[in-house]
Amino acid sequence: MTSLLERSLSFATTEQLDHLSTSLQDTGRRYYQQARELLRQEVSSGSLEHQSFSKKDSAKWPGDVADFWESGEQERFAIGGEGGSRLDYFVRKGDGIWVYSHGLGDVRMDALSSEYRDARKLVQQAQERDLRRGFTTTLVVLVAAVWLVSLLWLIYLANRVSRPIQQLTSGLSELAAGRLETRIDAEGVDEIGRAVAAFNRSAAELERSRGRLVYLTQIASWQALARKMAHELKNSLTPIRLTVEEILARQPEGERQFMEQAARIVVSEVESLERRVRAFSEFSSEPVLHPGKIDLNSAVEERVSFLKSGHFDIAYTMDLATSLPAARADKDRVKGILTNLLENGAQAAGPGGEILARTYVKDSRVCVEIHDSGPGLSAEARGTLFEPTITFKQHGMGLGLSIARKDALLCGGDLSLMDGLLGGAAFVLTLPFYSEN
Amino acid sequence: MTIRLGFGRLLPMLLAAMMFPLFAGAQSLKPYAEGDQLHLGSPNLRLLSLEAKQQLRNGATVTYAFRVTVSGARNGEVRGSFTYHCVFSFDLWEERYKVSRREPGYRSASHLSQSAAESLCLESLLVPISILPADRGFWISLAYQMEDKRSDGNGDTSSSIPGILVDIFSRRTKDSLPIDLVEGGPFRLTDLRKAR
Repeated sequence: MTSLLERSLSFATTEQLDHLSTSLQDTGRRYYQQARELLRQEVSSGSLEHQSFSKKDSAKWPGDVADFWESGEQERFAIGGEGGSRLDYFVRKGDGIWVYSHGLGDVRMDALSSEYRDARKLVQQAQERDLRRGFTTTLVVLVAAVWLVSLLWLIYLANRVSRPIQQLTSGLSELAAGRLETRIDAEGVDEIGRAVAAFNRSAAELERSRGRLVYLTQIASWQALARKMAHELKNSLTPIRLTVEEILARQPEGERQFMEQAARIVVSEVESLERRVRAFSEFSSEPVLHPGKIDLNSAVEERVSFLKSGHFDIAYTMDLATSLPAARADKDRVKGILTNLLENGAQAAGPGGEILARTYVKDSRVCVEIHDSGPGLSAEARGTLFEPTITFKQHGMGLGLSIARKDALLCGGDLSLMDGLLGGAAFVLTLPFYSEN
Repeated sequence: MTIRLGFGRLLPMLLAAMMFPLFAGAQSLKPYAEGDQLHLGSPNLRLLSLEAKQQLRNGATVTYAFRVTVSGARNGEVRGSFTYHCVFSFDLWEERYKVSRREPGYRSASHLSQSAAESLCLESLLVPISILPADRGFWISLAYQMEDKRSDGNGDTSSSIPGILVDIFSRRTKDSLPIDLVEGGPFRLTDLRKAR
């Protein structure tokens, strides 16, 4: 706007310059005419000396004298001298030329001409423009530009505010429809950004909770099945064992050797089945939890030293966090979980293998990692690792990890598989902080 | 015969030609031979336009560019073509004209009336007689145009955006300066030698 004002003032100045230059030229011309008349009068009165130029010396004539001679004119006035400070009067006299000169004082006619020419050039440049139209159009364009930029800025701001809200609304709808894996991509540290981050955290927590709930539900079904199966098997195994012992007792002495051998085999298998029935009973049982304060560093050290004696050919390493906060859990169940993980790790690592136990804090949880240097787990095994199965391996029933994860979940934590640091399998047990409240 | 090529002037010129049939004929070329050169002349031709005179009275110089074309017949094969420039100026105090040639080798003349300056300029436009047919007629066309010294809009540069916008939006649409054309013929060299 300041520039427009300056231009407007310049426009007004140009008009003044137009008048001024025209007036200057009139004044200059009148002054020149007066000087001419004065010079003519001085020549007429004979009071002025002249300079003669003879035809025979025409080769030496100055340019203006030669020009006058060739023009054929009888007389001529011309501006001469430095900067036009002199008025010359050329008069043809027979075969020669007389030149009268008269100074113009401080007036420089050539300088005046130059200034007038510059002034008229400025005026002409201004007249070649329609400044009124220029100002008006510029004002309209600037106002329109400001309006347009403001509009675009408003649209940008509205979009910036409304888009995350739309995403939040859409995300909540997805969440309500049960798609807990829904997340929102949004940046920023403003209120909207914090709301989006809170949404993503809540959705992730919901997804994890649903996973735990589903797992616990499955475990409950499996427990019911195990309980029923254990009951039925136990009912059948006892009569079988008693009957076999009765058959053996009633055999004549001569045939007893073969029968004793057969009876030992049957009883051995029955005892094996009874052990599995006890494991199923244990799996299906739901003892009361006794959550309390537990120092996981101490628990890990105690379990490692306890199991070390049974696996003297395994190298145990502990990387325990200093000032580890206490966890809230059932101490016996935590011991059971650690025993299960360390035993499984020792079996997988084998003689000469390594076991690494780490403790640390992450996301307001106390964590314990158990790594082994065994062959690791196949993709198929990873998919069904925590599902209860029936195994006939020498040690274990195939229920240990299921029980361990169930116990971890009941303690408010979780047990999950992770990438091992020693090339084998690795598990992480997470438990909540202990709080007096 | 004069043809005004500027579109804006076409209609007025047609009307003028209809109302004053002799006017067009009055501006025909009157060349004359002198030595080994053919001088162009057109006693009634007024070179200086109103705009040119205004610029001269503003103290500026005005340059006219001329292209003289000699052909065997009207719109026929061109035998030669020559380009010249006359520079006019105006003595503000004596109110007389001065004319000179941009090409070297020509003397300037001052203290001239308008018609004298125009005539002197035209007579300084030369055609070598050697290119003219001695036994046949030929045509001469003279196209001339004032060189455009009007402001190109960059005279007053501004660094601010409003200033630049004012510069752009305040520019008037300038008509291109017209090219005027004067033709004459058929001329015979023998007649032109006698004309002087």
